[in-house]
Amino acid sequence: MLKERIAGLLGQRQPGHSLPRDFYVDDDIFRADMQAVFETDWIFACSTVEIPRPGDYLTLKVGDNPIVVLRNRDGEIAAFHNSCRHRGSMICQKERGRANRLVCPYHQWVYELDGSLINARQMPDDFDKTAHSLAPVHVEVICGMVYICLADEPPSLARFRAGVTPYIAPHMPDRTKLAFTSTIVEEANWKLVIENNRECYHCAGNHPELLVTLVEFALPDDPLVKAQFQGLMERSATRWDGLGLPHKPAEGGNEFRCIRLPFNENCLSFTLDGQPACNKLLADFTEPDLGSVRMFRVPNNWNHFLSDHILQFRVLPLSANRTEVRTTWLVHEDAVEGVDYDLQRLTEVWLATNDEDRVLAENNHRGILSRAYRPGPYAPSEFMLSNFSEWYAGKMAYFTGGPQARLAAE
Amino acid sequence: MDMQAPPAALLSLSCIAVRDETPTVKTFRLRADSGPVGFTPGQALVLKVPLPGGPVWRSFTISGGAGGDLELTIKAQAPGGATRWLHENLRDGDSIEARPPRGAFTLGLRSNDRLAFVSGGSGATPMMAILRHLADTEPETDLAWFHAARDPAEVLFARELAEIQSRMPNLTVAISVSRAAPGWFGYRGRVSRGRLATAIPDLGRREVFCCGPQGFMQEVRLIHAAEGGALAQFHTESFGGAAPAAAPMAEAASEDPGFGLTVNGRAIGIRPDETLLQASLRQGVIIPCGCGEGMCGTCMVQLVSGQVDSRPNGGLTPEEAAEGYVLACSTRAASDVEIRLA
Repeated sequence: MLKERIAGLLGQRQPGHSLPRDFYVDDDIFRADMQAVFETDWIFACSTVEIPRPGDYLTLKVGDNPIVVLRNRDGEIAAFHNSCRHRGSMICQKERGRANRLVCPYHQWVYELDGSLINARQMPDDFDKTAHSLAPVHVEVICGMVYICLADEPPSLARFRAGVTPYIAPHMPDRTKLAFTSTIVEEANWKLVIENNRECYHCAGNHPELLVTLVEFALPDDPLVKAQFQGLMERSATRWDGLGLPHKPAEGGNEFRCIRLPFNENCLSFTLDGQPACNKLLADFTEPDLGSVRMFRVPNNWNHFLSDHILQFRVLPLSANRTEVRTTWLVHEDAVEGVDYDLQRLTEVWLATNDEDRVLAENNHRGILSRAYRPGPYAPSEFMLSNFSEWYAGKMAYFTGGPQARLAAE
Repeated sequence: MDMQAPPAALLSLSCIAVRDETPTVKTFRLRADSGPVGFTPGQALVLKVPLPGGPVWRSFTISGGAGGDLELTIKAQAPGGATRWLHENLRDGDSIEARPPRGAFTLGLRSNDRLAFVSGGSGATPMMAILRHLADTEPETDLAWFHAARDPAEVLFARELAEIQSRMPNLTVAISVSRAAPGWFGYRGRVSRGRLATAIPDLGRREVFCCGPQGFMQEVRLIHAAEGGALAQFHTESFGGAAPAAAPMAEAASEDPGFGLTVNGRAIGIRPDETLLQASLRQGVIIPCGCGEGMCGTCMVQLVSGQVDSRPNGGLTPEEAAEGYVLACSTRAASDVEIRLA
């Protein structure tokens, strides 16, 4: 029934337009999103440097699925369903923590960091612990970014890995540390949060802090702006070529985008004056003017890699009209707060921008509830929204026509 | 017009000893005929080297001194040049002229009690002079020294450094050579952020004194900044760099002839936008020069007449300024000007 309804809505969809209303606001379609997208694709979870030592863990919920991502005794990143094999209780309770072993707080079943059950008191002698390991979740680490996948057979990340690594690896995300993290909840559908991130058409009217430094493409046909930006881009490209840093857009199709773009003239970082937020530069950089590598990947992640810090954004849907956005700021592993960087200065631009984006997404969601809502046309500068809705429609079409749909029909 | 250069500006020195430091480096011990000469460790002496084609003026850091003597540690460079001449000709008992010690690359710049020296090649000499002074006066100084040399045989002062380190518990020394040989256990390779930050992990917290080739100092400046260091905590000794290129011909400026400039009786012109040095070089009048930044004093000339805007950057002693000397590289004309080469 639901799949037929979704198929019908997909049939109504006009390319180059926003989606039919129910995709944004309907509870059933939200549950379909979780199955069709968030339980099949790779989801950005965190940075490896958030869990630097064996036993460090981080929890998150993918739809209804509590997940724990941890560093095991070999120093590798692993992930498990955070659900005890006894009677299903959540094991790790904190958003981040450290555990020598994973111990369920309910009846104290004890799991090793590799997920194996090593103690279950009061169970009979013939109880087979090896049959009750934690359910594993697929993990891939790409340039310090931890992606997880709940599917039995995850799709390949090979193209993504090969495409983005040359841009990101020079920033050495493995040699950073977590400086700050912020989590906000937006009263808006997750797709509106993503769509808002995919265009800067809205920037001029809404992001005074961000536009100090960010080059926005809202007016690509203004010859003056175009000429100014081209000069800036050419000068920057020459310098980056000399440093061996790639900058041209990667071939990411609808899956991901990766490009290095300059900041405004004389700006180096996301600060209110354009000067560095952290005086200790990342990696072995001595050149502070590296613009930013802007990388995003569907469905839930975008990032900025600068000369002095890294920003990572994680989107997790909570319900049809609620979405969690988590932002992390990474700086050089040896940078010292209060000496090399000031937390307020480091975070103020994106804390303000995130809040402005929250208001925009919430207003967008409320307006879509109107009975007068009709899908509207994207501007040329909103081409990434077209890419996103094509990708989303493809996921939902697969969901409605996939093997499960045939089974249900029989 | 008095055609004799005022003697007060020149020291007459006698070479009283020469010793080999490495196969290409010698230390010359000089004694002024006029008596003991004071200097601040890190300062340089500008020697008048009597090459066969005519005298040239060259700055050399004073590597040390005792009892009023001055020592210069000099590496022999290309044949035909001043350093090679000194190596081949300056012997015990010979005389040579020099301008008095000058330069601002000294501990007077210090504002932080954690120091780093970063030197390349013969840039070690001012470091050594300052270090000897610190070893005698402030042996507890927290100092990290990184030195980049070409090959192990050219590492200066190794034995003396070991002796000094026995008296300075907070002195660390790291040496990197670009042409290592068997038996070399130090760092290898040219200066880079990774190598420097490994040798001196808290480089960004230290006040850096840097001396070496221009490109080397530029790289170290970027590294210090990238490690979080403040620009005000970075000092360079910039003598010995390339002479400033002659100012490009600016046709647009020809409408403004500027002022007259007379050098040793030869009348040339000077534009308002150029220094005495640039105007002279542009018109084929060669004034010996060094750093081009008013620090080394090599281009000192005597102002005979005229108004000037003179901005020496520590390369002129107050006495010299009072006697009417200016540095050609950092002086502009404010009227018709006549100068005489010292």
